[in-house]
Amino acid sequence: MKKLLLLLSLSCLVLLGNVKAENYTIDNSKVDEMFEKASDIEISSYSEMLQGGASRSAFKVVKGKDPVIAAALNFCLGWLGIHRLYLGTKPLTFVGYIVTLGGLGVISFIDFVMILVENRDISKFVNNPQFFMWLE
Amino acid sequence: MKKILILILTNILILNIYSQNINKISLHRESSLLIKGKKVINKANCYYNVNSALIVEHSLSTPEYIRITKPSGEVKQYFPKENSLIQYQNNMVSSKRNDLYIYINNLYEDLGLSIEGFKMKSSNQEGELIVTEWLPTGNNAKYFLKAKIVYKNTMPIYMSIYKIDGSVQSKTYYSDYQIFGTLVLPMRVTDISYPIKNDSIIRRTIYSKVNLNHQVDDVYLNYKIPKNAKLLKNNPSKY
Repeated sequence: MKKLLLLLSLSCLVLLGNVKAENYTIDNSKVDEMFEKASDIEISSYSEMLQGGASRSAFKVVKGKDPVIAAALNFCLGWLGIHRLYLGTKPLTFVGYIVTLGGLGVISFIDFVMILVENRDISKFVNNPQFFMWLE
Repeated sequence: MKKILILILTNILILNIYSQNINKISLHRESSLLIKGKKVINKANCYYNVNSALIVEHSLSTPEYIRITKPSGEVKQYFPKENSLIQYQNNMVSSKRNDLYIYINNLYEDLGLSIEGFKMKSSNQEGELIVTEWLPTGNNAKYFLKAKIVYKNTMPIYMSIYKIDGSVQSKTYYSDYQIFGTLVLPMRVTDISYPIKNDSIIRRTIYSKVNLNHQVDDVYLNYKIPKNAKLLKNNPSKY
């Protein structure tokens, strides 16, 4: 029994050691794959760089579509789909919100949460034709 | 443990002695940034004068520019197509804080942490790895909790920096080490930073085409920015 426990302890130690070792390395092929799948951002002029360089340009949210306004509209009149009208969508989607009262409030509530979660970049919700704007 | 430390110190001593023979270095650098499924790629040829610690970068990506960085933190970035120039002074972007400076001057022992005011707290062996912990001193102690460097075969393969609340600010992985004369260079550096919780930025840097001394094209190390270049008023150092 003691031998078994000792063997088990040693196995755990070896496994823990391996976990730690793995934490200090990265799978370069997976990183490359992520870069390959990503879409390009073009920096057209030095003026963009003056705004803080490439890394900052990627942080830009879509101008004119403020997540706070979208969340506020949703909070007040989400069941009518007013936030979708503000963000831009197909007329039929907007009608769908009115007819279903924002999916009996459930869809509009999920929209509200998603706008708050993605507040730094709500571009994927802008001009989104889908009824469920948070689905890929 | 002592043997490993002696081995590291001996390697550094030997490389320090021989590194005096390297006067100029040039290499190609491809930096890629990945944020929220979008990427930015910058390709540049970098030139380094060891004696003056002068770094010149010629960006091959759009917009093309030539950036000259001095150890004093003086930076001149010239855009040849527009014949315009940005000029600023910021110690945070001094050539002595550049990754190239660290590798070329064989400061990879601490990856420049001592320059940033960190001091080693502990060193432990975990299998074939040596894990060291560093504590910030002075003003840095307000922002950082600690840093960690992990070595494999005496070369750093990992560095992490922790915010004051204990969360990880950045993780950097160094791999594909190659030796050029007396220069030891990780040809691939992957940095993952976490500016906001549950959000990460990945920066991948790949070096290639390393040239030393007489192989280095002097054109950019002696580059003169035209006197009639239009000086732009914006000051990037404030961003």
